[in-house]
Amino acid sequence: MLYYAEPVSRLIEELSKLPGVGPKTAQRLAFHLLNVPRTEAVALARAIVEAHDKTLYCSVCTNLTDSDPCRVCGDTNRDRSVICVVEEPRDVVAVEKTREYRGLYHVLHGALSPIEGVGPEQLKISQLMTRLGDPELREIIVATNPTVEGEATAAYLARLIKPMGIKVSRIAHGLPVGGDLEYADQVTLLRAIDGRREL
Amino acid sequence: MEIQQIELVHFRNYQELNRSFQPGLNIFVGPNGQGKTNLLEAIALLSGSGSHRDARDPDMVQWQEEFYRIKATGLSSAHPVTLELAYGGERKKLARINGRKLRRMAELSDAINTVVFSPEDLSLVKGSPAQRRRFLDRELAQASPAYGDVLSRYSRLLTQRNAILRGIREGKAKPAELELWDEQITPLAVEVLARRLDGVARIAPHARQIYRGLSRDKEELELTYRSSFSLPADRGKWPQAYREKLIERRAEEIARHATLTGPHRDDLQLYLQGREARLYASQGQQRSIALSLKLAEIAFIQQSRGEYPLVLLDDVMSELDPTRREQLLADLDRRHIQVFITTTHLQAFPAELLAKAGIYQVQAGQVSQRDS
Repeated sequence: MLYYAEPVSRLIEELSKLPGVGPKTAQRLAFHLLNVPRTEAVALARAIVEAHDKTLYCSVCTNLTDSDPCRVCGDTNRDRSVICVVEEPRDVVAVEKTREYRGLYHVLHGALSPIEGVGPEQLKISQLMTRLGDPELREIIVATNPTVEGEATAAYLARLIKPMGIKVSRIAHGLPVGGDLEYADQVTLLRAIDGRREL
Repeated sequence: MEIQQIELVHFRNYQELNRSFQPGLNIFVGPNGQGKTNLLEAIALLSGSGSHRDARDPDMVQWQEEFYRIKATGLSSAHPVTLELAYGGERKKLARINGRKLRRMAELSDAINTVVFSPEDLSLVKGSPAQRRRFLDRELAQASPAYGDVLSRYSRLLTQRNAILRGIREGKAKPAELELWDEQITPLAVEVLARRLDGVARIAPHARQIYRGLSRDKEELELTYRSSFSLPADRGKWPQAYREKLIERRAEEIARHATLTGPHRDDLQLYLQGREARLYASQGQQRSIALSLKLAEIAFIQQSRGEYPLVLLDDVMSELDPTRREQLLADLDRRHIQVFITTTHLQAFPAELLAKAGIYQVQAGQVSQRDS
């Protein structure tokens, strides 16, 4: 049975395909969109299409970009001796927000996960390997997520890259800065103790 | 821990409930299907170990409602504590201790621990190794929240490793990839193993002593943990022994695309008078063993947390004979443990216990206190 007019139900259907959007949220979003002025609706639709048309993957670091090479890879002021390897483009943004890291990036677009059919070939690892020939490069920082899959990916990269004489390091995980020890959950605390360092 | 009051909103068949309890024995009495077990389930959920019936959250929300909420006030290590657990709505699932939001549901076990005894537990002896592993895991997770994390990472790696085995069999993955996952799974397999062995070593003396009491000093119960590979005396050599076993069985693992060695294949073996209880124990002996294990779990939690857990007895009274029933109740009473029992009738209880128990009539989602 069709509850809504066909165009409305099609909008709801499309919205509910978005990550984290269930049927109820999709309905709410659809009605919101129908209530805004037409210009706003058009602006949103244009923004989606434009983002699609005008973005591409950087041929060096495979990050999402509107120019090739991307701004980071093309920036001559960046430190070319270190590459930070992350899972997703949003992780690049997270590290950039620190405003402290001045090196380069490499985006894998995922992590090893056999159950999802993601092996080394499905990740942008071969692109990373071609970058290792750069004589300036000294260190790879693996900043994949502290999940089972992220750790396996980190271990895989270390195995692959270390024999080439390049330093491979893993970001630390543990307590949030400024947080009280007593409020940390035991699992985080335990891992922080496991990953302790000598002073 | 002691629960003084509980509030349920839209939980199972409870529209709204506000009920206070007493320190010792609390008995929920009423016909089947009225909501007695739902009350125990709510208490079990507050201890962060999930539903003892393995129910999923959406199934525990009252029919045609959007969320459930459970709130309890009581004493934890003699300090007042408020526990809250809510599911549904915008933030999906939320737990709080004294108003502080928790990052993991398992953290609820900081404030409250429960030991559930239900009719399924009576088949612990005859049942599958998986059932006995679950018994051990639940107990260890209550004693140490970190164990739950180790176990869940181990099972995640197991799923990934099995997918690789399948991939190799189908020619989609390379054997070299398997080595990577072997390397990842080894430290976790060894840690689960070490923690389980230590756990068994700690509950075994309790179980033996309790069983001796139940059998009037006539029989000896022994617990041993059987690992799926032989363990060198030196724990430092376990990772290597595990890796060697994986390599040894690799061809078979690929053929069956399943990991055949590791704590997920282990068993808690029970021996009575030196003979395997699974094969030789009588019905009555099996019940005594199950009871001993549960009581040992209570002692183990008391030892590791410094406080007795709450004990939830779901419909087991009618499954035990009068002697074991009375021993169980007397034992819990002696240790001043707060106990919640569901039953369809009160005849099973000794009059002197009924006299000091809180008795609650459960009828279609309504709970009213009544006199014994």
